[in-house]
Amino acid sequence: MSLNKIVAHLDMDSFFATVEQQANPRLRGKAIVVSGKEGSRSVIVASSKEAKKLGIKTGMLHFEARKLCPDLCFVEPDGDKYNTLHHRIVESIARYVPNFEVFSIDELFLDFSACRNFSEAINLAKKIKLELKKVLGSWLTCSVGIAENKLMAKLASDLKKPDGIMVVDESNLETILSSAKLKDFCGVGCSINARLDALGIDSVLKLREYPQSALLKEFGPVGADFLFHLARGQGQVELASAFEKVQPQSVGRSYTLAKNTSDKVDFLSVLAQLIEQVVVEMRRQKLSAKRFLVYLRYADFSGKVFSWPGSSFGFDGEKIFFAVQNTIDNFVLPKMVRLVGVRAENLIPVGNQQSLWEKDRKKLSLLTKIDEINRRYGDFVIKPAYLLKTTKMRRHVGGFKLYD
Amino acid sequence: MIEQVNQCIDVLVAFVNRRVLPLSFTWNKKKYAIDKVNLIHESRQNGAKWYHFSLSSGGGFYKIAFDTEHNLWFLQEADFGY
Repeated sequence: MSLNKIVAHLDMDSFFATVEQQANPRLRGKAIVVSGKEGSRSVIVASSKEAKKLGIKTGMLHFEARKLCPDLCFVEPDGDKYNTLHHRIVESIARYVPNFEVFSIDELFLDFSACRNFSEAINLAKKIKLELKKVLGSWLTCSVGIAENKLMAKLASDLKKPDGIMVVDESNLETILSSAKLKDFCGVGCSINARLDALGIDSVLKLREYPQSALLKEFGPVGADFLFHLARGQGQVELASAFEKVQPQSVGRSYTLAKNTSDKVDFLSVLAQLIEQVVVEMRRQKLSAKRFLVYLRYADFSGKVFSWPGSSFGFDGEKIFFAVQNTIDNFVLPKMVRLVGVRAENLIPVGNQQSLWEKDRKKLSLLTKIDEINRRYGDFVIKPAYLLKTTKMRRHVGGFKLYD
Repeated sequence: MIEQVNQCIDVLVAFVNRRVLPLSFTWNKKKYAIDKVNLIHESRQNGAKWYHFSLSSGGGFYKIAFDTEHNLWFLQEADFGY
């Protein structure tokens, strides 16, 4: 049988937690979670294989995890470790596969089209797994899914975890599709799953039987097309090259406050820093946002989103902050605030287009120089006056952390 | 239990295949022979490159780091294994 394309999805098993176990052998074989200090209000960022077996999941609160495992060990995240290992993974993969896509810090899609059949693909996957063990350390394992497209390859890698290789081919495609839940597929999030559920579609088979015209009405042309193909095990085969710069769709930062608060001054000072971090990143990537969002999550996990057209702010964090401050000052808080976040979205490259106004050009030039100095000597070494009274925060996995 | 130490130390290293391999370190006048380097990673601290080595020594876990700007070694973390 000749194949059009073979795609593999490589997923590092419990990446952050396993990296910590690789670094410190005393943590191996134990239920550990990567998260903020125990007792803090941060959530579980990653859990080890042993912790997962006990039902501990990413996003859980500390006390929930502790209830499931009284002996649970908390390890603070170390982004530099994960980043270094991510680069080592990419370098190793590049020695075996010329074309691959970096999907996230611990996931890659690999173009296995040079393999003539699935058994050659399995052999290549075995070689890559061995190489990664050699380069990263014996405790780190990965799971590989192999299929004719990215959608099924990603689903397959989840089916044989940890340390497995799973192939989806003609012989097992129907069985896998009929046993998979819709939310197992990459691209079907909570919101799409709930909308499908409301239509009475709770399985791939029901999705396949559902009229395409009705899907079109509910999900629009792009969504309907994706779901139509998903129901048949078909998906994208093209890989975005790991060496091409992919433009982000949004830049966001959020922070869980040390305690729930109704004091606007408290969380506005955190928001000021998050805003500055977002605009610094946008200036670094030469992007401008069409929309700017600030969101508050209340103690009961409900929330409120405020939005502004991005064009009125440009690169200037101070302008954004004063607009946010003005809106929040006039807003009556219905509940205590637990988390605050900032997001710039619908990003477009600015290119070399300069502002028509000299004042704006001068300000951008000054801000860019300040960014360079801060990159060299540390965040907020030079900062705008509106940040003077804020508590210093440092970069942290999954967001920011106040200095102790 | 992991303790944050962050103290300057002396380290004996070998250069193997163009890589640095720590062999032992001295901290508080005691010499610790390194049984295994479990993980090496890099970071940038205020622009300077640091190399971090996660090590096993006599049943304990240690994290040492080399500051390339000041050519200094630090013991960052220790877990003595008791």
